[in-house]
Amino acid sequence: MAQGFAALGLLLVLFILLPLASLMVGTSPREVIEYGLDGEALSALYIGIAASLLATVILMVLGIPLAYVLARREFKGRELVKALVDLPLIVPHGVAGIALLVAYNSRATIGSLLASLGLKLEDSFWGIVAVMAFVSAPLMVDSLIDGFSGVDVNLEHVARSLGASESTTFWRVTMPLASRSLMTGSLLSWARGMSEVGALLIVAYYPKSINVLIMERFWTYGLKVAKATALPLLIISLVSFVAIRRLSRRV
Amino acid sequence: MIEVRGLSVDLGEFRLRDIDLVVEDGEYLVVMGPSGAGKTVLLQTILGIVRPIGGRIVVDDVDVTDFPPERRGLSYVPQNYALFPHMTVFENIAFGLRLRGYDEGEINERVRTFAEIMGIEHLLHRNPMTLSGGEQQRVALARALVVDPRAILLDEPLSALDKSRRIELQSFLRRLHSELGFTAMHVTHDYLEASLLADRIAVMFDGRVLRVASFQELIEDPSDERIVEFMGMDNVLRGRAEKVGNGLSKVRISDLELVTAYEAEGDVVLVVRPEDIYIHPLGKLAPMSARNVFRGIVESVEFRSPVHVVTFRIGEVRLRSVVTRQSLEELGIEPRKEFLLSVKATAVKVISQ
Repeated sequence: MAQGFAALGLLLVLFILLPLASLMVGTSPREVIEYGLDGEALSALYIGIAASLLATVILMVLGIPLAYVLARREFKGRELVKALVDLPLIVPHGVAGIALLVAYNSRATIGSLLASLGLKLEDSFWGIVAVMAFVSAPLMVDSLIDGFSGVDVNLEHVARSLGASESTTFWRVTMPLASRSLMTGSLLSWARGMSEVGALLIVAYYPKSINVLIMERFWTYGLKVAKATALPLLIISLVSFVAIRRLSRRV
Repeated sequence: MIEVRGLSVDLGEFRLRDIDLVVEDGEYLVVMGPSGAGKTVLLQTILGIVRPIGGRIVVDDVDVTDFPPERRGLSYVPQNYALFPHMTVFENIAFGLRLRGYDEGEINERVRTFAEIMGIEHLLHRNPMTLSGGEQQRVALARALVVDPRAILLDEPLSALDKSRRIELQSFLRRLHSELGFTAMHVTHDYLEASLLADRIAVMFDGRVLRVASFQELIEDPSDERIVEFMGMDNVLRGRAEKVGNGLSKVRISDLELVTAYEAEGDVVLVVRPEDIYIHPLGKLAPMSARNVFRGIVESVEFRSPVHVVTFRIGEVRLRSVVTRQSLEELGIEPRKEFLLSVKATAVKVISQ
């Protein structure tokens, strides 16, 4: 059985690896410099990375308290809230974009309030951040719920009995022990943000993020240019993934 | 001193009803009862983790009922010890001291003093997850005691250990208590553990404290069928032992003297299983291997399917034996009749000294 499993497993690995490898192999360095690292591509890359990082930070700030409450407190409707948070996982990306646009556009109630603070949704950097935060929220919150649930409540009880307040206990005991889940959640939500296109096309085509630019170039110039544009993003993603995983294993 | 007055808790599946309990300064109080009796809930309510629906908790004359756990001055040793896995043993013990703002020098000194008392100086740099159960328990005790708490509350601290370790740590705990004189409340479902450690035992059933008494008082007069049931059918006796050579000891339990095949000296707890007590009609017995033969008067006969439990009185001491219906009839066992009882020395087990 072990051999059969290994063979089937290998098949899946190859299935994933082959397209990624061919993207790298089939692209000349000259093409990459010309299309992947030109002014438009670089600024799009910067926008994509900055927006997904910011979305991840926002999700940390809001996701940590939510996940802690969902992991620790028993209340009516807890399962419902968990299901709601997971909803972006199953909503088609285009639908997510439309929903965000309807709810937060600058003529809607909340949207106009945000717009008056300079946080306009449509075709703005904040729109990109909003889209990325929306689609990534379940990944961050679910990872953190797992993390907090895995921390023995007795550790918190002991810390309290030794004189630690609720918040000291959280920062000195609970959060450090859930740090690996925070790392995983952040990595996943950053990656999920970087890979979003559908909702961005609807909410914030401009400023052009790398996600949108690759799509646009595929439609306009075809496969060769799109491929070259995508390569730097792929390499950055790969390197950060490997690096963060190695780092978090050491923690 | 911890005073619990009219404490009631409602957690749905667990309820505490109107509990009154006092743990005196320097007392080692054991809360004993079957699982589900609410022992842990009581402990957690006193700690401030669980909120009561009624009653007061007073610690050293301060009503702490509405205080958060961190302001009660009560240290907690949970069943799984809950050592902080992201800190070294040293940092675990230092945790409470750091919160109290001690400077590095004092922290270092206090941690080392307590590590020495617990015999864990050599483990201070270790990750607690790499320690054995017994070592973890000592670290948990050090962490709880180093902050000089008003009392420490221990939840089944010995149940995670194997038997030999348990016996070793029981005597360690007892020695520690007599040396440091802290106030302790210790939860267990094991009456033998209770007998060894407790100054007094609070017996809990169904969310109520049925009785608070010394172990001696409990075995002499359980006063409640459930307590008898809980301690099992075993004859648990307390006496004074004296070695008599050949690996034997003589134990005096008020009017009864039993020879045991254990070497023991001083105060001991004995267990004699009911099925190890033989009943003979009065008169001369044929030679046999039992070293203990004495007279007993039948106090009561009780049918507990499929056997009969016969309770004998030997002066102040009560001993239970079990017999079949056939033996009961053949020997004519009935209340107030006198018989000879025999017990082999190997059946008189010394469980602690």
